Amino acid sequence: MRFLKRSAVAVWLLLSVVGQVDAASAQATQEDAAESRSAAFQAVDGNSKESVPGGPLFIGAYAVILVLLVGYVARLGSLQSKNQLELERLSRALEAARKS
Amino acid sequence: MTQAASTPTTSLSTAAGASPRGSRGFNLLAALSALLLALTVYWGFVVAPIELQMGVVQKIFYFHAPAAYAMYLGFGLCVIGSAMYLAKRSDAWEAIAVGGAEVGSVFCLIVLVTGPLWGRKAWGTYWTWDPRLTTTLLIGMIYVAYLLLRNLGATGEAERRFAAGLGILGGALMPIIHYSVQLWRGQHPTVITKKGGGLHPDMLIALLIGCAAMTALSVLLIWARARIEQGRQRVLSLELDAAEQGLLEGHQ
Repeated sequence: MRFLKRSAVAVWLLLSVVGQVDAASAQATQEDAAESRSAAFQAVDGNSKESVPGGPLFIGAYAVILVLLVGYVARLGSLQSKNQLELERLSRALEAARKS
Repeated sequence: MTQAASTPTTSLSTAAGASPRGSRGFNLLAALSALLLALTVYWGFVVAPIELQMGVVQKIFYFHAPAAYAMYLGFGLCVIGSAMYLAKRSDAWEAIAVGGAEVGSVFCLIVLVTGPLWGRKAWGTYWTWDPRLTTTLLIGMIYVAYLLLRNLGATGEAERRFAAGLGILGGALMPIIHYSVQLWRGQHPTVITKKGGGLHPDMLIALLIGCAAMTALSVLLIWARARIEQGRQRVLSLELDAAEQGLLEGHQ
């Protein structure tokens, strides 16, 4: 009986140690992956696998860039037109002043 | 009255000439920007390989990082323009400062939108209060405040000087943003810093072409915006001159 008890405790301790080592190893692997992803971009070897679909995010990002740049160019055009209108109004007013 | 009217009328042609269109240098820069942007898209999408861990979403990097450099360029020109305005009270320098702040803010917005889209895949979240992300958001808010002050507020000398001070103050954040990934432990990638492991050669070429494209594009946009601002300042100044001479009475 005493032998069985000691054996059970020994097995429990052994499993705990193995479990701790496994957990530490998994954490180290996770940290390694995060560190590697943060420090270097590497080319894929063979077919690529996607866990989170990156396609919509990628297309969304480039759509935003396009919309913002085209929108800003349109704003510049609008500001230029506003200046032109102001100039024409001023020209007409000065012309009328000269005639009077 | 006819004699008095001659000064503002003559100056109208100068104000009209404020448009950057038609300038040979401007057109050449526009063509160069278009060419470099097309080359970035080709190299980034076709030639550069897919990244091992992030997949296709990593290709956001070829416009995200160059947009950050263009943001630095815009805000840097705002700092220089603001400092020169305070020193010389020159409208031309103020126009450069306004152009730099506005274009820098557009690129800052590009950085702040494309970064989280990349982060959703790489980090599993759109936003995290990482030092670089937080300081980039902060500088964006400072220059938006600068633009609001310039565009919505009164345009007196005191407001212009205050805006110039804000433009210089915002610039103090740029070195903090740049070195934040080295000074503090954050999640932002350090691929192109000394701590980083580097890039695949084709990825590096795409990044360099992207930086050249965004530099050319930002200079082009700042040039256009500064010329338009100068034109607006001249029109305002002519209106004031004409009004002081009594030429606009009954014609407003």
